[in-house]
Amino acid sequence: MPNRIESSIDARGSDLAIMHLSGRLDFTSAAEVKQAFAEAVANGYRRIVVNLGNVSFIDSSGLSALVSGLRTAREAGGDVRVAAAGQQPSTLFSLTSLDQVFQLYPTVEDGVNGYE
Amino acid sequence: MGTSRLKPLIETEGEVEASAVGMDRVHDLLDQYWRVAGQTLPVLPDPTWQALFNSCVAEIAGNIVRHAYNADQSKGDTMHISLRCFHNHMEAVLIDQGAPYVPVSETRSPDMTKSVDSDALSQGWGLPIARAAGDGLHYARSVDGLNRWCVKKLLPS
Repeated sequence: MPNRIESSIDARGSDLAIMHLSGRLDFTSAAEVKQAFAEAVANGYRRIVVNLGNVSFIDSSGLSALVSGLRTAREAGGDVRVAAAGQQPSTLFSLTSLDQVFQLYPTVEDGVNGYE
Repeated sequence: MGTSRLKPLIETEGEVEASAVGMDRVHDLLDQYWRVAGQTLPVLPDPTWQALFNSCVAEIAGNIVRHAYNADQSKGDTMHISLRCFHNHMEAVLIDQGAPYVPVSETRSPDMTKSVDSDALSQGWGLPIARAAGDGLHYARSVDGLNRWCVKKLLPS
């Protein structure tokens, strides 16, 4: 698994997209992820499912980047949902109570279906 | 709370560049530590426990890179990391020669839901997370200018 964060957008409709993240989401990569959210929403994708299936580790800055993305999407009338989080990211969502803010889904397809 | 004086069952240590790039090495050290632990201990703590310990170490290391040093200007600064296992706890000791830590008066809980409605609350969660994920976080500045962080986490009984 690469340590640099990689992101890509997979459109699933006019305003729905999956954001695939891969690598370590921490203070070294948080700014890139915030920018990826800003670009996705600017391109009309206000409903986003973040695929964390290939994110090996997340820290407080990584969580803040997701919160920033959530705020950006909500300001556009949308939402951000989180799918396929592994052990460490799930543990941190729970520790920080962000599992009460983000809807967490076991799979990406569950996240997409959650919007329908 | 200082470092345990008993001989550790396991110790993995290394000198790590105190920079964003150096965070790769922090995670390599953690991987190495858990590999040795898996070969040494009869039972490993569960994955949630391991995730919390790793989060403690990474948050403190990240704090050093960003605040003790300037993360954007790597000048060959380093930090020394020791990961140790004793019979009833694990601990991480991180030592650097950067700027002293300035404690904030507020001791926050790691409840990041507060940050959802306020961009002003988007930072400063690293140490609250490290504190909550471990069972004791201690910082000291020595007279010769070393910052020393020690986090302990009790092993499940």
